[in-house]
Amino acid sequence: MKERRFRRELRSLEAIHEFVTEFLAAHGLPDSHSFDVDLILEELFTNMVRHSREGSHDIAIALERDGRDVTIRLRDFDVQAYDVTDAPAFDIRQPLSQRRPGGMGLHLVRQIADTIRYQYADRISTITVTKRLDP
Amino acid sequence: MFQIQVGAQGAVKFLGRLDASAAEQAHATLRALAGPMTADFSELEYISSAGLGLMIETHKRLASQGHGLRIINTTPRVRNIFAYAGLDKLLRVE
Repeated sequence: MKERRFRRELRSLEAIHEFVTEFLAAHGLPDSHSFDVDLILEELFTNMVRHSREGSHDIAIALERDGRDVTIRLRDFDVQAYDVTDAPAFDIRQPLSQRRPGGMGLHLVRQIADTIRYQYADRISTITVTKRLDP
Repeated sequence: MFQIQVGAQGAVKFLGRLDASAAEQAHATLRALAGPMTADFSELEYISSAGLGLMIETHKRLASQGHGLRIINTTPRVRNIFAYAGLDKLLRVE
């Protein structure tokens, strides 16, 4: 599993995209797959940055390929638990007038990812997502 | 890399990757614009929930002033993201 750590700030998103691009190239996968992997990573990474404000450590992101499946793992250290799989479902029929920021990102991850798992132990939040890449 | 180009008569072109970091930068540019807006997404490669939020906010602001927002030339992948969020029916996405 290839892992790298990123500062917990929005400016890290460009470096995260480069990490994904390098990973795909190393596995001979077309860059077109980066859209889904980037989206999953961005939504979960920004969620960690915003919800775990007490966190001061960099966030670890790991990628692994197994055939057509990519496993994406994010680890946030020394934080309170925040189980993203417990977040309420987002209502896409909600009119614009009632829409507030938040909720939409996790909804997109649920639409795109195949599996999402959350674990919390020793004050480390771990989110593991699998995504089957299109042929 | 993200760029936003403001043209004449409310034409605004989005280029590159509209992630959460870029959406923060684009926010100030869009806030400074008034009147009807046509957002050209032909060269927008990527959008996340932050970009969707930016377009919702822009739509609401313009609508409150009696103006419309059109989002044109979306690529299939970007259009899918609008559809996943139910926004393809709530915003004018072409």
